[in-house]
Amino acid sequence: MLETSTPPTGPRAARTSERLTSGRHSSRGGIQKRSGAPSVRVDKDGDVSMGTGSGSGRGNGTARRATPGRRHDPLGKSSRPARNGIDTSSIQKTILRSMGSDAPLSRGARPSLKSVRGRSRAQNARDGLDRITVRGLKQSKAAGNPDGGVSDLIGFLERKATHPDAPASEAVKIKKSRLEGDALIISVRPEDTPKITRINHYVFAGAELKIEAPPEKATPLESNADSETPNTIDTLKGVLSRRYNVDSKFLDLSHLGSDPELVNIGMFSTTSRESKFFPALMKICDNIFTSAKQKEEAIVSVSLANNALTNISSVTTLSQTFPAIRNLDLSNNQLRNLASMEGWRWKFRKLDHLILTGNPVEAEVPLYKTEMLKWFPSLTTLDTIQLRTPEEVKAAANGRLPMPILGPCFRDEASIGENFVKQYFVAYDGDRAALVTGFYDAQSTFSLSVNTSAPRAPETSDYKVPGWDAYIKRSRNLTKLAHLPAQMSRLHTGTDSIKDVFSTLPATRHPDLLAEPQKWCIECHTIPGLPDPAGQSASGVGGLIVMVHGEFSEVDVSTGQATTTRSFDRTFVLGPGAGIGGIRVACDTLVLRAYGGHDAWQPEGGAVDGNVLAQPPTLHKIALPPELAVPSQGKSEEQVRKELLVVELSKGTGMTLQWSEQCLNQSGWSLEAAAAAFEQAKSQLPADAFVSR
Amino acid sequence: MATVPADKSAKMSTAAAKSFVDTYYPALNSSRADIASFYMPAANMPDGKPLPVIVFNGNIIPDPTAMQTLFQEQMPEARYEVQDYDCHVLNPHYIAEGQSGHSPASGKNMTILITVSGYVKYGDVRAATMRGFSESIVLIPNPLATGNTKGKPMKEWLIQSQNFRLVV
Repeated sequence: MLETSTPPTGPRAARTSERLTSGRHSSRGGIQKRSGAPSVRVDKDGDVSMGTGSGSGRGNGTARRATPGRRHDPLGKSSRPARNGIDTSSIQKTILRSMGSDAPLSRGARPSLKSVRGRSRAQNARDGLDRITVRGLKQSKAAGNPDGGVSDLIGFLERKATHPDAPASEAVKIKKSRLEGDALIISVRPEDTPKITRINHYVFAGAELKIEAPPEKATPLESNADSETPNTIDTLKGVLSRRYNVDSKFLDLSHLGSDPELVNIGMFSTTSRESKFFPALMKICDNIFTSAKQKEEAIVSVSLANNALTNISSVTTLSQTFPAIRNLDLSNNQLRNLASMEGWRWKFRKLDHLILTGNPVEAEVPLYKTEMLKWFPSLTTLDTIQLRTPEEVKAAANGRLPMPILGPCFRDEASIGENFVKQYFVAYDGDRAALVTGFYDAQSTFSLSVNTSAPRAPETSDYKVPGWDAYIKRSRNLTKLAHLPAQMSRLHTGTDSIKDVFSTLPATRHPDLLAEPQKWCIECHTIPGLPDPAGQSASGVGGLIVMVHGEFSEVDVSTGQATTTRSFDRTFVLGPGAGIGGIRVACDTLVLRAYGGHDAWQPEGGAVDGNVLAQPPTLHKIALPPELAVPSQGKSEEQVRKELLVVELSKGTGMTLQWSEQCLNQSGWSLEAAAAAFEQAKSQLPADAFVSR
Repeated sequence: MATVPADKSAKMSTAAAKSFVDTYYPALNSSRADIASFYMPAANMPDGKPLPVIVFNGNIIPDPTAMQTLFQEQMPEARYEVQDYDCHVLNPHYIAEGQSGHSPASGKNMTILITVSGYVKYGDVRAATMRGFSESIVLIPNPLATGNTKGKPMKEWLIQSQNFRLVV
């Protein structure tokens, strides 16, 4: 862990913060590598120098800079954001550049990118900054401060150099600084150079300052240091590829703070840069992997271990970029409570294994394991211990219905339904006019409706649902259509009308029924009371109602390419008639909705044998002793696991903890087996086996 | 056969569908003791198959009482939300076997196909996942409501056939 590595010598040593990591001590290594000189690089903020050595990030900085001259910053903040300007935006800029955008301005709608625009003016060519040498710090009283007085000196210089009446935009800002021996080398905009040199011979903390603008002579070292931004993206890419194991599909983002390459480019040199670092890294991943599918296939496991995270806010974008990872290692961070991870609640819907060992949360939050099981619906394993089986996960995800999801209930009559469906969708994709002629008649009715807010397949929840323009004007969604004329005009009766509306709907391609049966759920049963075309029977004739759930792609007719994939539910009522096979479509309703996948109707494993109740439907409230299911001194992991199971079973069945434990003991500590045993025996259990309600 | 004007028939069917979705799904949510009252009385089709037909995620539910019991005793708390429904007149002139039906001019002798699309949350409403569902219902006139317009409120339409599927 970072905290235990070499004792920091830099001024930022004592800082405890929520930052991803800190490059404080290692940054020296970086410079040394470049210069070979014993210089200490101090970030341009000259961060944390109040001598307190504590405080958290921005708060501290703000306090330090809350000097009278800066109070009225029109940004409503201290000058810090502006001072960080060039660097904070550089990563974004670089990313934009690498995305092939010459004009970040065009993307200015996003606030973060506005800042790019705002500052690009000030940034001249590659290196538009003047370097000025300031001596006298060593002799000052501030030299005793934890950072050697650097930040105080910078604050002093900026204050003195800025004209009291100058607008904030013209405030002198020191862009970069570093110590070289006794001298502090600062970088400022050329127009600020005279303002700085004017302070020559001012007294700072009891010492006279000697300020000189050196002759323009950028050493290779300096130019390297100043032009690092264009290379940032390459560096980050390098870091990613070095930390990615293709074979195990593992992205190792642990120990980031001591990654020499990252430290080298000053990735952690300021709070601001640091906060941009992880999102930038994710952005690069987003550019490398163009689809969610690619990401899911390429990266299965991610480690963020040993990053001194006190909460996940700095790395929260992981869940946007890699929502489908199966394994996540957060071990040896400083996550203390559930709130510190709140941002990931309900994210990572496919997360199977989570590691939180070495975080205070283990000891400080009783039942955090139970909570994690709730947060991550697919989670089976926590800290290498399996808490539930994949089958139990599936049962939980399905809302613990009292009966299993079964395969299609297809109660056909003389293969009418089967033949109809086999022909129908092929013809619908091919020749809809012929289809209407073949199956519909003057009394047939058709309508479509759009459920624009239907739930979506979890794996697609990051995508924008393609618009419904092609359908919405015909949608007979009666929750939204109150007026009778509209209701009537959107109900199509007879072959001509139905042909018309079919011809206006986008071309489609449905999956092949035989090749991809899992993408379909087709059910049917007979119903009585259909109109008798012969007019003989008032009580009607028998027919078949067919329910089809599935998906289709819209097809661009000019290219033949599939474009948008959507889900649909279609209900037909078939009756005897003059159409193909002696049937007619009496009613045809089509519901369109965003792609919802086909997992929902896959028969549940083990459901076939009719063993219905793997998980009882409602959870009971159980009073828990505080020490139960909580790791503590002298309690084995195995014991904790068992206690967790006892709690789970008790909550599920309403049995007391004692009875639950007994039941699990007899069932070999399998929650599933215990629940099944309970179901069998529950009617014979004495009343005192249950927690009174 | 008397013909009912199209607008009257459309109006009546959409009103029936609205009334159904406005009452049935709330009953599933919170007044489960009423569930059975939404279904037609047990009967047989001409070929002997039982009515009403109730299919729930592929499971055949034998009768309305079983459906109600299932919801009352085993189904977790649920919140059904209808996001989209549509209806068609299936048979505009339907009179059940052995019934006299409504007066032909009333237009009430119809059967109605309703298709519903929405979501449901099972369990803890705040925490549960939204599951998409699709349901197809056939309503028939309630024979007992015939001529009983002034009496105590009685459902005018009853479920003859129902197929429920979680689809997301």
